[in-house]
Amino acid sequence: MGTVNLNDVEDGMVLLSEVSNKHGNVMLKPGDKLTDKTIMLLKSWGITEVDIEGHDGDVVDGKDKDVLSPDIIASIEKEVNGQFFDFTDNPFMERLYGIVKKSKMKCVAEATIGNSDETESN
Amino acid sequence: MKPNQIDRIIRRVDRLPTLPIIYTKLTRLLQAPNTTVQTVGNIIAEDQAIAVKVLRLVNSAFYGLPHKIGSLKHAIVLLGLNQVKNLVLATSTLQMFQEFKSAEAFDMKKFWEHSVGCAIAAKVLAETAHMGSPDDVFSGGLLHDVGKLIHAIYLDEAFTAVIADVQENEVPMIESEKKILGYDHSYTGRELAARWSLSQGTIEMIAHHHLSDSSARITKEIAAVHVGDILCIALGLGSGGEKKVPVAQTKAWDILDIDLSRLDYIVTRIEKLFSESVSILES
Repeated sequence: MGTVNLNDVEDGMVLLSEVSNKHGNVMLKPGDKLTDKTIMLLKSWGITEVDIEGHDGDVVDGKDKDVLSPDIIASIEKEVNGQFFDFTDNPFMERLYGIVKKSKMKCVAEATIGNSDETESN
Repeated sequence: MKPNQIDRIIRRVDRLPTLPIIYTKLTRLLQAPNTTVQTVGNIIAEDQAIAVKVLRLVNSAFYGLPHKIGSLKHAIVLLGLNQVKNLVLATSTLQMFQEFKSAEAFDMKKFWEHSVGCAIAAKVLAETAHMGSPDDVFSGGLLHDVGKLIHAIYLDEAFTAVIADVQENEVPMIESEKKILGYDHSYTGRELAARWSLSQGTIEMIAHHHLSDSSARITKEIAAVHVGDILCIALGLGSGGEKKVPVAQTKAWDILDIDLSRLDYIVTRIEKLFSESVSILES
């Protein structure tokens, strides 16, 4: 599941959950593809956020893991571990740690893809 | 150095950082029942740099308005008076932070970015938790570490030793401050905030954002600043001098009562608002 602010949604994104108006009437169904027009309509109905399909960090994480070698993943984990004090039984910190690690992996994966594209074009 | 020595520093009116007149005027105006947008517009118009920032903010992608807004009065109506007050406070603190010569080891620019980042993070948390006072939380977030400003200006050598201790020994800054100075920046910040006559709510957010006083009542506003501060450090938005990400107290997240699955969304929103706000405020 990924809740996204309406200011951040884009044409072509697919709804994961239905969208209802303030009277409880279903206006859009799961699977509906958003367009610029429906995004404008959602704004006019006073909707501020929607659940978007595929906006799930784990999916991105999976793709990044395919791009990065185990050694690079291990060094990223070591670096992120070094940034945090020890925490146990703290679900908030566990989640935050996961987000920071994922973001770091995404950055490195994008740089790796960018570099290999450059090499191929040369 | 003992807290009573800090009290003496705080009492030295002549060299103490002051809140700009425009912010004090605005706060007074917003408390008056008969204040109009026109009156606020007139105050803002006195400071062209701030007036330009108000217009840039309302025309930024964050608001996504279909037409360009050219009138200051119209911009104030769209942003809301509290949002304008926050913008003035954030711009003013940047000027205030740049005015003073501080301990060399302390990066004022990154410190200001950390303050803005915490203000945005705390506000996003307050909005997500449907709290009634996201703009008050913004002020508390912006000023939560203001005690460090006093340390950086007046305790050059001792504060440099604190920064070195934090970096070399990887300890949280409040622990190092207590060890080297005998007190931490939340104490100094509270004293300064009281001297500035800030609201009781803001003083409490500054005094208790580390949740180090177990006898203090933790409000949702304090919890938002506590969690916002840690989010900011973890995401690397500016720097308040910490080496590692402090551990957020679970009770703070529990008090906010936000589903943990929303943290990804919260982080994305904070990062987006941060980069946009810093570029507007610095312009």
